[in-house]
Amino acid sequence: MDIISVKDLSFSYGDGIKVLDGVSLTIEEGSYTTIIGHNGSGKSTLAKLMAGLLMIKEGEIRIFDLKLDLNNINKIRQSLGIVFQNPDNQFIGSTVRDDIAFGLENHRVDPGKMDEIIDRFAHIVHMEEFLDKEPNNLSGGQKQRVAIAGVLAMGPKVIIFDEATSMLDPQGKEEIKQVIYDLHKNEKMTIISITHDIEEALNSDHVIVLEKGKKVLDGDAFSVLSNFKMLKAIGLDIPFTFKVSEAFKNKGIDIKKCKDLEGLVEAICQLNLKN
Amino acid sequence: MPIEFKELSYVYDEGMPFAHHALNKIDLAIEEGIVTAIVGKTGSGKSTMIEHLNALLLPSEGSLKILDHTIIAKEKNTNLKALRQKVGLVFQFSEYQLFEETIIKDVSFGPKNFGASEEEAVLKAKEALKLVGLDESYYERSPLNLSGGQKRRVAIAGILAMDPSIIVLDEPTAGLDPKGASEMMSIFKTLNKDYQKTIILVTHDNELVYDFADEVVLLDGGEVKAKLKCEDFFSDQTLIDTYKIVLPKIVALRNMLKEKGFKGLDEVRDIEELVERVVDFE
Amino acid sequence: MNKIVFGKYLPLNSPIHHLDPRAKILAMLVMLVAVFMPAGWYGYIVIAIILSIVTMIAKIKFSYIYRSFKPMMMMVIFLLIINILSFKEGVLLLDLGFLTVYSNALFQTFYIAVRLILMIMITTLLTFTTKPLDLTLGIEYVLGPFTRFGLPTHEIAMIISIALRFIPTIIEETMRIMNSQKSRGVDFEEGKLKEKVMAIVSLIVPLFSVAFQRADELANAMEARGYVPGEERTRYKQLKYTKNDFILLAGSFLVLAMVIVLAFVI
Repeated sequence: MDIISVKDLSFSYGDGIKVLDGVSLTIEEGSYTTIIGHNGSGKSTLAKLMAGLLMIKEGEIRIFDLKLDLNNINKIRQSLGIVFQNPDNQFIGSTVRDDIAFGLENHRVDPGKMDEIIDRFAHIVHMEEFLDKEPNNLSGGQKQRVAIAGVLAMGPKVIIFDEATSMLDPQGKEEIKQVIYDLHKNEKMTIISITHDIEEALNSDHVIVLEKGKKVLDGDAFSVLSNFKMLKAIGLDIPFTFKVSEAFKNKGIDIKKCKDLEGLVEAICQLNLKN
Repeated sequence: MPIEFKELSYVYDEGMPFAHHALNKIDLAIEEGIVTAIVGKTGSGKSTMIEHLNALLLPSEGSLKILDHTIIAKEKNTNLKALRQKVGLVFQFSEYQLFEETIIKDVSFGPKNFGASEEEAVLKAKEALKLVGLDESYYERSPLNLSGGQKRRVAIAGILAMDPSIIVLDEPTAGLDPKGASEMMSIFKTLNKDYQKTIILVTHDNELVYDFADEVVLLDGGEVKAKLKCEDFFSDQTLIDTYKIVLPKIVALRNMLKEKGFKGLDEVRDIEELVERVVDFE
Repeated sequence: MNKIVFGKYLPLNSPIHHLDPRAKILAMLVMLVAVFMPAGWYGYIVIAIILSIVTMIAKIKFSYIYRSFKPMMMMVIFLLIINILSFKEGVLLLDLGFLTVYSNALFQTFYIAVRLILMIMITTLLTFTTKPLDLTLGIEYVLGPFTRFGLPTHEIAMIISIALRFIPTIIEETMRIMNSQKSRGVDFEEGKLKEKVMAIVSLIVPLFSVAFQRADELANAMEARGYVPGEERTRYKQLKYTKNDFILLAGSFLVLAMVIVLAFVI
């Protein structure tokens, strides 16, 4: 079932330049979708439109078969959360506890029930030991995990990650990628991740490539990321393992494309046996 | 040796109950004309170290020699401004330093502060902008209305216009998309190869280190744990295990193939070459 | 930056820290009124002793209180100069021909300085022992009755709490931009007026541009999490008066009453 469908969506900020130009796409419930493209390709604008943070001017977005507009926005926000890039600029409370409570307060949750909810979601993102910490005593990865807990506490079905790992150090990046992976796997969340991380894209179910406001590729990770011609033409990265397979192919040796190094090495060794 | 740390320590909030040793008796020499990468976890002392190179921080103990300046702890150090002209420090997210109305004014701001005349400064600014790939059409535009990648280039031009002989880069590619990042790094490669600038690169990204650095310095807990040639650094198994160093992908693949019995793969950096050797081996 | 103690919260575990912020804010107001009563030296001695006891119960070192006085030293010196020039009564202490110093000038300065010190002591005791967020929550409740006159108390409290939350972040940012500009040859300490102005501009412009960007992103994050200004929300933190709060309030009113008696009756 499609949880989100976007039809002929175009958008421009004040200057008249089209940041999005006739984009249509669908996101399946329970899928892990990555949206890749250069800075300025329209990825973040698409995310903001889906989260109802920008007004739709042309085209439409349907979420759970509800048309996203001013009447439905509050209803839709309960089923869709968004985590942004900068960990500092989305930490609203003065402690971890207060920050997770922020969205609950807005939804007028009974204060007596909040502690239980806070504990539950702090546990999911492994922040239960930091509940009384202030943001300036937390690492970027930890702050970002709090942001995720804050979004989760509101009970969404879909979470959009708008370059949520790009400002983090390698450890923070790993932490967040693991949390996203677990949410998809264990909590059956629909994930939409806007990212520059081609390896993350490779491990997702569905990849969408945007370039200059237009959708240029859309499909499962393997087929999209195998389209070297297109990826190279727009200057995007190619997964490392695919590059190696490609280099073998150029030597006239066919080797199957693999998602990870282990698979690749195995494939190379099998090659050895055949000869 | 343009840079020499001798028994250098730095303590934050000295004398306070929460005093913290950010650097602990650092002994380190960094060579001229090469690219040295400084790697280590967040909080290992990398930032504290590079702020010393520019005398933004002064050592609590020990001394530091940079070019013809010597900075000694607890002594009056003069002429720090002259040092700052010779050591260009490009901060993380350097685009935040932009403030002038036009790009040309912003880039010539540095040279003017160091005493260049208006004409000289503009001339240097133009050269620097050319180096980072921004042509005349940008001169009169506002630096604040550019894309992220372009802003970063303007900021870097602002440092290059001071004509420093040492360039210190703190996470120069953070927040850029892969294309922007590789363009950025090729600018620094040119500066090192064609202009003989000494480059110090601070980064978490080991792909960048492997691709770009000649030497690698590993910091941990405010101490120098290793200083090795790049290739040696990524082959030192004890180091890799102790400090959980993430290997560049090509090195990881090489190692795994070696384990499977492939030979002759040492120091191969390029995918095509690696494949060729594997095919030859078979 | 750690040298500034005024307005800071000290995370200690004391009965004073656990008091309800509303009670503390009210008690502070009552005590401030008491300090303004012309109660003479006895009144001030009583207030000083009581504040010292509260400080001890709160486990706060007197050196910390003392440090919070420092910023007002300049004010006291300024006051002293004005008083020396204007008060020409009492015993002549010093005669330099062009300048005469009378005892009343010193006395008056001392009197005002004591009041200032007591006032600062009262307010810092509040900020030292109350978490900023609790403080805003307390302010919101104390201002609550004014909501019916159109005062947006909730919004005010939200603005204050966000401002408090971002102070450390902005200080860090200021340091970073200062360092970047120092590296470009800006001298923030010395230089001619024109250079100084330029130095400040090179700090302010980036600071504002980053702050606007932050504000924009923060607004998005708040909106995405269902915040609608003016709309009713529940509050996670529930304030509850305890026995100690009533003791505090009763105590502060008692002090006020005593001071009034000292000032007007005796």
